[in-house]
Amino acid sequence: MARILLADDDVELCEMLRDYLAAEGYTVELAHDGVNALALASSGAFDLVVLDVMMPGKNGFDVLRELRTRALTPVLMLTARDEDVDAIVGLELGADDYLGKPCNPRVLAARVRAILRRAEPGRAADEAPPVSPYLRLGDLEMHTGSRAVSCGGTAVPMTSTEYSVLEVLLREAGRVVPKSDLCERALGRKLTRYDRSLDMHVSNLRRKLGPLAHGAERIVTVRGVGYQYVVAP
Amino acid sequence: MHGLFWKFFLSFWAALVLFAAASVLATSHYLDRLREQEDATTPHAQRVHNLGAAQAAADNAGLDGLRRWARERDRSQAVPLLVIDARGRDLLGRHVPARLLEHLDRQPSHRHPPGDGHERRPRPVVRVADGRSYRLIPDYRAVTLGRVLRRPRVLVLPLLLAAVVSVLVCLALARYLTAPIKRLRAAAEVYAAGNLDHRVGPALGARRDEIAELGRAYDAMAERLSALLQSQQRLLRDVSHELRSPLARLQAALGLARQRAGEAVMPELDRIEREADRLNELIGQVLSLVRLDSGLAPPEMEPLELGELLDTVVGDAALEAHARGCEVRLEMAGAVTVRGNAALLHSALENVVRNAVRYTAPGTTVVVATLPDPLRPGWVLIQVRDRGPGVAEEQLPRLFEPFVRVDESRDRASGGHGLGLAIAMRAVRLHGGELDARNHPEGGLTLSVRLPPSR
Repeated sequence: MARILLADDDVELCEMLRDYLAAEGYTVELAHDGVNALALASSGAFDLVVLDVMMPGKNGFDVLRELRTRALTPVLMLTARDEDVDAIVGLELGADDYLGKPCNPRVLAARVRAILRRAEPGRAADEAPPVSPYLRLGDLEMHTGSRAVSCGGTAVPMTSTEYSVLEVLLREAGRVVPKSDLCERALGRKLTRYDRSLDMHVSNLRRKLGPLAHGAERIVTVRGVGYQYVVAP
Repeated sequence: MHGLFWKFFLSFWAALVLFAAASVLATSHYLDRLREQEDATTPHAQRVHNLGAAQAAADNAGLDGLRRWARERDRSQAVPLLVIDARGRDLLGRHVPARLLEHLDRQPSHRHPPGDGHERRPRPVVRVADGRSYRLIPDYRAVTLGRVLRRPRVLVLPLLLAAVVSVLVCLALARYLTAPIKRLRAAAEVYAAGNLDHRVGPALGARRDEIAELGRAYDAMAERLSALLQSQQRLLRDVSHELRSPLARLQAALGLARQRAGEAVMPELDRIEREADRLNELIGQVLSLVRLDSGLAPPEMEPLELGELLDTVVGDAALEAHARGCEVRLEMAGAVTVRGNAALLHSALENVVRNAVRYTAPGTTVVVATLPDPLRPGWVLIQVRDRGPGVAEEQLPRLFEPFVRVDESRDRASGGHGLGLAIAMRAVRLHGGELDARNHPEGGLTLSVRLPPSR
């Protein structure tokens, strides 16, 4: 049973959401301020952290930034619905996904499910179990079992969402993956309009992996269509 | 203090005094000249001179010559010299006063005996070749102001001087007055166009008069208005944000209720969820309106394919339209690229199209058409036409004001908040474009979005 940390300063809301998620089969613990949330999240006892941006003590961004220096625990950010910037900042800092507040608890539960499913070791969203646990292309190597990625022999730490995006792109290397496909296969949900999640995950991947050996972009954006992992000539 | 008052007062006063002085000067100058003429020559010598000249003219060119001479003299001299024939009429047809005629009548009988000292004084008679004779009689009493003024040659210089000086004074004054007022008006226009930070103070420089005071008062007013507007926006924003917390709890409670409730209450829970979503949408609209109004954080602009944008907008609106038995049709005149912010432009077009879908009569078609703007080369025009009841002409401009219900009963029934078009207007303006509404002659409302060229 997955354990979820729900960090939000609205105590009543948290309690109701805990009950809701409990009914969906999750164990939920609550934190109502940033310091507490960081301490709990860093303990490694949770499979997922649902993190609100507006919190006393440390805000959600600070918690996420510090958490990412210690652990790659999946994080779902709750942002103010109308602040696109919040979503972008959260994703840039390594959040796995974001959800605008106020949100329908059904949608929250669905996002939680999607993130937890891709964080499950050894199971990409919709791939059959591979024959070889290794995916290799050029200097990049992914182990689908341990979900470890190394680039040029150096281990590259990444969140489970970044791993999922990279895995889909790598399996389709040399082909353009439409955004909507990528979203459904890697994030496990439908692409919504003006959703910046994929763009941010891809930009995080580019930053972590760097360019190809000959200096070219590793993952190219095909405007209006999607993304492509470039096969080195 | 009262700098302008004194400038007004003194310059008008000075101009008037100057003009009066010049007039007096001109008159006295003229009279001086008259006296000089009389002083320089005795009346007798003058008479002899006139007589000689008249006779010479008559000798040279007869009666016409005499007439010309008389006319010329009449124009240049203040004292009229009448040229009177035997029947007592003036050669130029001027009025001959009765007293002069009496005087003339007496003269023949009043002959001076030879050698009585008057002998040297010739009779002022000019003889013309045909034998007629004319007498030259000066009419001193006819020297009136009217006659003087009708002879501009004597007055022209002083009057010209006065006119030039007063024109210069008045020009300078008028400029001095209107230039800052123009600047004030320009500032008011900039302010009215939405630049609430614009102040007139710097444009008025170091002035210290009533206009500068007016400018400062205007700036104070602008400051106060901006502050009020900002606090109103802040209030709206804060209230909206605060409304979101209970709304989030409401949604969470609703989720719990769904988990625990039986099938019987599902329709009611659906209804609650729908209303909560509607409330959420309204709050979102208020917040985006406030954000657009505040002018903070200019949106990121990028090249956008208008067709793609309209496809999604029309596709979404069509779902809504089908529910009412209506259609939405998109007519694109070729591919158009515009420069804009995708989310903002999408929300602008979505609001415009949804407004049309909301008001079009059941079973009709809303047409969304793009075409080159016939008014401005390079611009693109997006016309959205519904087949609804239209809007009363006088209400058209109010269509884009937030929370204005043009037709109360119908608006409420259709679930509009009166915010969609206000948001659309602001979003379109942010793209440098324009949005207006017009009733179509064949019925229905046409909303026109004009966007500038992408380069």
